[in-house]
Amino acid sequence: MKRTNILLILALIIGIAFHGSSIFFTLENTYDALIHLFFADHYANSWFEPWDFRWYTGFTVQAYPPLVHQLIAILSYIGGLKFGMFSVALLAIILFITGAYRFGLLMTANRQVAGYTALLAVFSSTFIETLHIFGQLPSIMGLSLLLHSIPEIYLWIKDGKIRYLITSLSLIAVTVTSHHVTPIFGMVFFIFPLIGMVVMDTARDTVEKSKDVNFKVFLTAFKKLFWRIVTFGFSSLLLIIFCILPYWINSKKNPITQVPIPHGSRDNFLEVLSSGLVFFMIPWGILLFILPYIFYRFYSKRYLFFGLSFSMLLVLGTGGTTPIPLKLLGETAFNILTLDRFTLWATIMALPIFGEFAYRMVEGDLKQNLQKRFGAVYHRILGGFFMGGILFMVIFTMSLGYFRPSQPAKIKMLPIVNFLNQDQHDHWRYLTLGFGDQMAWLSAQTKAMTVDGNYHSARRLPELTTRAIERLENSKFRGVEGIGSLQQFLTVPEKYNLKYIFSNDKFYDPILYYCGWQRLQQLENGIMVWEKLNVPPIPAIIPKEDVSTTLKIMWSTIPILTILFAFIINIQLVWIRVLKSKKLPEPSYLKYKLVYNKFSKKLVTVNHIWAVIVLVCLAYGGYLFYAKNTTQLNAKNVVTAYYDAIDFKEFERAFSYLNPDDDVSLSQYMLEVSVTDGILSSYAKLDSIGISFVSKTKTSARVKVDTRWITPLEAVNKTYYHTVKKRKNKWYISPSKIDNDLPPDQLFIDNNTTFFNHGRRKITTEQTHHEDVLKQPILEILTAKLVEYNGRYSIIGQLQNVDNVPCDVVIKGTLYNQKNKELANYNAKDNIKHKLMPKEITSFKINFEGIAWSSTKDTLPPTFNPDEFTPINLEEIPTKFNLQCAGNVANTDLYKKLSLQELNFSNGTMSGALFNSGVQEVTIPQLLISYYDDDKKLVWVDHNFLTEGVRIQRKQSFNYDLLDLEDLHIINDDMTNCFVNGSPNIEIAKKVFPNRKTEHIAEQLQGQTGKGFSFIKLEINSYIGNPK
Amino acid sequence: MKHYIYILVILICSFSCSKSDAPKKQDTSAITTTLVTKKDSFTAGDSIVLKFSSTKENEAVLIVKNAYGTTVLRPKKDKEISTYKIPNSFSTIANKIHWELILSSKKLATGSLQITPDTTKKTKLETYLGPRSIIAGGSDFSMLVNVPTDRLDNPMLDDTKVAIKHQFKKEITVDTLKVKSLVAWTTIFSPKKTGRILITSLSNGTKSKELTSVILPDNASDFTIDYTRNHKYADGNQIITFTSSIIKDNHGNIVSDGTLVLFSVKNSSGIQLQTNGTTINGVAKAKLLHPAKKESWVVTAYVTGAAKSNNLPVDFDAAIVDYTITFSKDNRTITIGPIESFMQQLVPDGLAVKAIIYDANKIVLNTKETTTLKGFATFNLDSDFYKSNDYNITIEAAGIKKNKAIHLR
Repeated sequence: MKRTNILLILALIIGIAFHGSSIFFTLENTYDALIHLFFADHYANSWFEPWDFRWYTGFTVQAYPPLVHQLIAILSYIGGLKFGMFSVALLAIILFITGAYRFGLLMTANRQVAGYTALLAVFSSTFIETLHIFGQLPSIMGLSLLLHSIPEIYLWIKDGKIRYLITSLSLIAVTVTSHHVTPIFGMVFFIFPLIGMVVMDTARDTVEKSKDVNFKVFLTAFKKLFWRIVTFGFSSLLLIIFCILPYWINSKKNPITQVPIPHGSRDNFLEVLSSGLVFFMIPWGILLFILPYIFYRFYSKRYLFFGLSFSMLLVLGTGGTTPIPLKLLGETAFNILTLDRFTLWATIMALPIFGEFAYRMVEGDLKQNLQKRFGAVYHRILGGFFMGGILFMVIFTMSLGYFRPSQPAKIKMLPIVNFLNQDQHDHWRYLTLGFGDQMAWLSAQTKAMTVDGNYHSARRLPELTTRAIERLENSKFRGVEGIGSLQQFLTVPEKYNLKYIFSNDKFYDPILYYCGWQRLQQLENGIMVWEKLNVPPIPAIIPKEDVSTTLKIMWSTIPILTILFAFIINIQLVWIRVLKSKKLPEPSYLKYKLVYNKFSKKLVTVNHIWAVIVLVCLAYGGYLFYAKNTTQLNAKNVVTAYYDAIDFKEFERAFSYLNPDDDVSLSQYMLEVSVTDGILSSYAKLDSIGISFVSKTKTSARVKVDTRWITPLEAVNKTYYHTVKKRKNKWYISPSKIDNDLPPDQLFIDNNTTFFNHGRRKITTEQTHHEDVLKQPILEILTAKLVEYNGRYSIIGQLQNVDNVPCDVVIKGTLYNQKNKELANYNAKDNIKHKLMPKEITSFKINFEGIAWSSTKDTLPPTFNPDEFTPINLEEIPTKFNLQCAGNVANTDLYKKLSLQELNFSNGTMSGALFNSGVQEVTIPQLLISYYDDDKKLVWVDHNFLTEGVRIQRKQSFNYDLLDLEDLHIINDDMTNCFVNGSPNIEIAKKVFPNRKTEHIAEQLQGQTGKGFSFIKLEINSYIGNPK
Repeated sequence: MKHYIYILVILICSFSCSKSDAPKKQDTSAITTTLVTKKDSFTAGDSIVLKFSSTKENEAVLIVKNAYGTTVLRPKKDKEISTYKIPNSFSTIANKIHWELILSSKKLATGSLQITPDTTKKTKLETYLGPRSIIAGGSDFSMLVNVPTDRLDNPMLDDTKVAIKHQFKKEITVDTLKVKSLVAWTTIFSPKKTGRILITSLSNGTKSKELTSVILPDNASDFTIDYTRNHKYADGNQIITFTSSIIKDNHGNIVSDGTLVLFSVKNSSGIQLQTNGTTINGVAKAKLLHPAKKESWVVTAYVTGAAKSNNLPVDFDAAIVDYTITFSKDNRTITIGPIESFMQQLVPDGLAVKAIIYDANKIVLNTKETTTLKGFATFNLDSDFYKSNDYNITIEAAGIKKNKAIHLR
């Protein structure tokens, strides 16, 4: 009777104590954990129905293997979803550690080494990263089970006992149902080399010395085992297909025809250092130093096939750093797979070798070798270095999520859940912005539906699948495609019954405002709710893609059955093994124990040289990092650092780069910063910065800074000039001048009309009472025409709120051809004032946007442009149009106090200044410029956002280049198909404004002859970032 | 072979289990039935029972139809007398009921019943009014629809009287309507004045709730504007306020609060500036800064499409008559000022000063802008940008342009 392996017990205790307690602080902030929680919630609520309406206007959960989700769901009946998640995570930790032990034992046939392997598995940085940073529970589960199945497979092929075939297949089945990619690639990278090793061992048995194993012997052994291998291969293939058959059918039916989503693991790690760190340095960690040893061992005869597999995994894991992965995998697979999993497998595969190394280092021949050659002290130092290295990697990896959080701060979901449950708000879809992966947690807690989702392989709307965006939710990080997609959802929300937006990121506020959304309220957790008027609720019956009942039953029963089956047939063995209740025959792989008595001297030397090379590379990398990040080392750095600080709103840091000789105090600087507002200072993200020197001396330089800022509305290019000076070996920026403008009044008094709509006056759960529904305000379309300009078709026009209450305007335009066939429809986006006071007029323009890049998938523009416009691809030429306007009573965003104070024209440029005569600070002013011909008839509408805000009682200047409208064609100006609130516009005009004085508009036009126009008119729209 | 036997056995079993539902045929030729119940008109809510006597005991069914649907009733039999109870779902609806007595697809008898609303008990009254806001002046109207019903929600018969009352200001009007085709309706035209009309109706002792129609003002009529300002000088700093007279519609009502009034300002270069005001109690106020140079403005205000104001001339005198420009030794620092305003006081901070720098051939090199601080504005011509050479420079402040030729060292 053998002693229980102390090292394994130790590994389990430490592993459970360390990982088991830290998951409570890390798992919820990982990328994936909450997604799995959402899936689990789905199973907990509707076990047998694979269709979930809550994401992507409906998607099927058969797009991801269900086992882990179903386990969490079952456990959630005991203690809630999070209890389920943490329990499954604990289970995964135990399975991983024991799996590593068994794999180590199989590989090295040495219990001590296997113990070291288990212990090192606990601290392996790759495992820590996968669990605590990525939160990939199914992947860990799948991998751990694969490790458990490997010894069984070995025994089946080696000994041919049916019992082992059954145990190995039962474990493979569980692996498949928990993660689909693991067994498929596991076959290639783990089981093929394993088969090679079995054959090698069988061949070894037939000869005296391992040296005698040659190709012929190997082939004979292979022939002997051939049928066992084939049996196993085919049955596992069958299992892979059968166990998750609905998944394969679904993948066939809805193939991933999406534009690939960029993933850091495909980057060139030398160019994108952060990806290199996360997807290469951290997973490899301390293993990097002993790569020569790993290769040496893997390329010994027994492990040869593992050696090949390991090398392949290592190379594949380098992503875009070398062209090999792309060539090996092919374009499609390269763009779908995340390559970090190869690194994960490689590092797991190397664990037994690392364990062996540790064993030999701590108590084996390496220790003796080192002590003999370099002395005992050196051995201890080296040991300390390894221990320190391992601990450093553990702490570094664990703290990564703390110092560089991948998620926004934890959001309290209860107020949002309550909001959705109140007053039938869940009858509309909602959208979250800036929630990160926490949106999945929100979805799990509510029945309300969103147009977004967090499992991008299941996206269905073409608006989403044609762009490389994971979620609308974080679209600002996805550049053009992100904001472009988002804008489509915001402009035509009726299409998706999207009425509410929960915004945790004020970056999106301007685009929401200019797409016609309004703030509803701020919830107690600080989340701002935006709403859109005139959106119909979700119909009672919504379409879904149904699958056959057989598939549904397979999907909901097989995974749990596989786990039960595996449990029943494996438990006996586990029981015996753990409790040593019965003496078991020694597994056959334990015969191949190596005696560690002579550590190769050459290897020690080679590994030392390698370690030095790695250290030098690290040091050089560190130096580069330092030189790039030492902010005041040279003129370029200080300017870059200054803009970086401005970009991240770290004004104190920005101030520290200012020349102290210029006598600007921090408080003065902060004051100046605090009074500037506008799209650039409040809503912009620095996209790129180009620094060039106008002139340069040793101690001073004049720098031209070309900046490109991404704002939610458009990309802004702006050039700044700075003087930088060197002072005491540090470079500084000279502060720029400020506007001295002084408003005349200290106290400023203004009167305003405010409005309030009760909604429902009676507190009741019934439908809103008939008498509480406000009459829709009446609008009148004054002009409308279909024009073609630069190959694009637009509907332009003017409309007036002819009612006595303020009005929110939604306009939908539809294009028809000569035969009245509908070609396209779209809503007015930002070329309109969405909120009108009584008798106010707005010009409008409807652009017909297509689904961006749907036709040019492979030529995505390389840079970001949120204002990117994809004209719709019309099959035929539109000749007619239909306009549907809807008015709803508005009571917010009615600020009309921006005035046009100055205006000048010179050489086709219009310049002027706006004056803010009210008591709200206008964050983003917008000019609507309409162009008129000789007869004062409207020909075109354009808009321009001012990059800086207008403070109260102050001016803000603007510049605008007038357009060349010479090749503009008016196609149709027939207004018979214009409707307001469903009634014909002509009737409204006759009834509400029978004696309209049409000359008023003509009198207000600005005479300014240009290319293709003779008059223009300016209208001003103002977005207020912080209404007071 | 064995299997076939099993299958056969199972099939036989399954057939033997199923019960035949086919009705037994009855000889219908000899049967005649007569309706015993003589009453054929009922009040909604009454219990309705139809009795038939027949020559022979039978299983005849009664098919009952009304506008809502059809049902089949089975009899309660007492020898030759069959009794059919009309269910509540039919007997509570004021309606005409058609019935047919059927035996083995043969009609034995047909007939109909009339159910009338229950006028004896308390009436219920449903009322609808819309739109709930109308324009003053007498052409716009709200429509009131009354549906008096009995306690079972059956609309009352035609000519049932509904009294309506509506109050506007001091006046209460009473009117009587009669139900016609289930409803009693009327239109209430707007009066000339704004306010609210409260409406109620009454039928058979039942009162409706209070309904409201708000009378909103009609389109604005022409008005006048004026301005107030602190002084007449164009200092670019003070604020001028334009105020409209109380804007009213043609019936003398003050326009709705929040009505937008656009003030269009034509300056001496023919450029139209603009500012907006929204009305409070009919008065719109709009503001602009004083211009920074001598100006003559003509202001016209619009409630676009409906009304327009007089043309209001506003003149500004120059606040700054002149200023001095001084150059540093190397000519690279240009100081403008002290700039004095109309009382020789230093101009308030923030006056815009522009410098246009030309090369010797009068080609524009750069335009610099700054604002004054304590009466002074300075420009620096950096030696990095402007090599030593001859330059022309134009300074523009408060509408006064000055040209200088300078040499930069």
